[in-house]
Amino acid sequence: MRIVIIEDEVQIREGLKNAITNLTKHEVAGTAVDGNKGKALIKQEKPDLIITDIRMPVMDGLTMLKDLQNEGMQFKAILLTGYSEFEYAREAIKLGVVDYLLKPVDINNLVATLNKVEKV
Amino acid sequence: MGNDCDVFSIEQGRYNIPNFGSDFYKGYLSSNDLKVFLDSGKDSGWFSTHPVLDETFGQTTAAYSLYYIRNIVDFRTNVGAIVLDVSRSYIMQALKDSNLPKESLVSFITSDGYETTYSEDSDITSMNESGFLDKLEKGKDQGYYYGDYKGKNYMFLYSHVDTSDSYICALIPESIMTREVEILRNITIIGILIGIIIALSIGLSISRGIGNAISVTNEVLSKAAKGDLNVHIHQKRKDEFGTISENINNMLDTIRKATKQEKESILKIKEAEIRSLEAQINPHFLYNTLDAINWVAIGEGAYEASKMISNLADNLRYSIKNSNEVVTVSKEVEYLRKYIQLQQKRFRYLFDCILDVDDEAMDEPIHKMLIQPLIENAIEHAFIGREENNEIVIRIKKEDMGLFIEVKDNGIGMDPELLKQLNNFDYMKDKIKTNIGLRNVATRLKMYYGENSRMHIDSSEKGTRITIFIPSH
Repeated sequence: MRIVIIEDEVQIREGLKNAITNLTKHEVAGTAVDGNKGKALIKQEKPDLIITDIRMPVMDGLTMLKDLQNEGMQFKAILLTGYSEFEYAREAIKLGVVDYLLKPVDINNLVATLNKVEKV
Repeated sequence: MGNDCDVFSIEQGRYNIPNFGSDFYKGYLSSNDLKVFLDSGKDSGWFSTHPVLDETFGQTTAAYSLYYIRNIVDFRTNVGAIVLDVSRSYIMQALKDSNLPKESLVSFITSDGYETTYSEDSDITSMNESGFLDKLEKGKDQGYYYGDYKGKNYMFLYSHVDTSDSYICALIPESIMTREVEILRNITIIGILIGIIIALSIGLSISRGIGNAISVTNEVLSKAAKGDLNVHIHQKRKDEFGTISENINNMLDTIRKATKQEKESILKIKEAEIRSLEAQINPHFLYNTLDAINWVAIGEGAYEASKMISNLADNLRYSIKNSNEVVTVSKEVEYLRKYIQLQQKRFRYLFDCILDVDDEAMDEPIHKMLIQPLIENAIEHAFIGREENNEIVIRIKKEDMGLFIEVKDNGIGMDPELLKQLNNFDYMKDKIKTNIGLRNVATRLKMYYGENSRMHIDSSEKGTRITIFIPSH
């Protein structure tokens, strides 16, 4: 899969990128630091999967997905969250969110989730 | 007069009795028969026998009992006499008809002292046997006195008959005379006794009723004093005790509500404390930072460190998020496993741990975080200064009464003074100063599951065993 990562924290963004590149067969097409930049990146790259943080400066992850959906884009997304139960679950599913990753991300869990999402 | 009487008329100068002339009358006047009558100076009289007449007419005294004689006077001159013989049975019948009370005697006494006496038991005729005539006051028409007759006490009544010197006497036993008085007296005594008995039994029943009411009230109050506020006085009395019971019930209600409110407010304070802790922790910061460290560790190939960080984050998420939530035992056990793994890694496997949970207990509901503090307590305190053979055993069993949870270590044991304090911990009064974890469990246990739940600690130098009992509903 071609994947884009939208995450404001550099260690997490780079960590995820390296892990996906080094430990899986998937490709990271690009990364962005907020929702606004993410939107542009997604429109440009048209990735198979978006991995995005929720809370980010300038534009949060869910607003970004909503905007993209309103513009007629179809996509699959994974949310990065600190909580196991996030209050946006219902809305997120409408927005094409297929799964979530808990922070701190467990490597084994990351690989398993990506494999699962690929089959959706 | 039928067979009861024979009548004789004796006249001067004429005969109505065949073959007897005026000479007979003259002779009769001077006979003993009439002497007594004439001596009395009365016009008439009752007497016993007239032997002269009997002899003259050839009859015996047995044919009559007594006779009545009356002078026939013509111009102040006695010209004759009527003699009336009366049979014994006739007199008896007349006496019987007097209807005197039982055991009484009634007697007709002629002027010459002949007595005809009737009583229930016997009829007696005799010549002045009782001496009644001597006892009465001559010249009085009637009178009475009390006297003794044949060994019994009687009231002796007498009444003069007609113009003659004969009397009717009645002997009425004193016992009958006094019987009514006795009955009246007895009725009065019985009445007083009944009155006393009624008064006593009313008094007793009132005092017993009051005693019961007080003992019921007392029982309920002593239960309430011991902390059981789910008591109620069942009193149907409508008096002051009913009112007192009702007031006590109302008071208990108020105390119950107040206690409930107090418990709820303690719970709310605790929740608020946790919420504020949660807020202070700032989960966004916490988890992002942990994830950053995680990726640094992964970047340097420190996968063990990454695993510990994920584990720690899982632990924090479970324990901080909705810390008062009810979960299944199996969910709690899953968390405990992660917690123990993390602690084992942290302390480089300082201790072994056995987690033994009944299958039946797995689906039981339990509030979060009641067991973890007990394990934490063992890890923190039990193995100080010890490197080997440290063991913690956790057992969760389901029985009919509820859940039994045991956390046992083979460590150094607890300070006896602290042990005593913890076992007598009263969350309503004591403030938590040390051993926050254990005291917190004790407090939350009582608040979630009530007074029937228990936490107890046994400890010696061979180890510590903490047991929790959660009653099923």
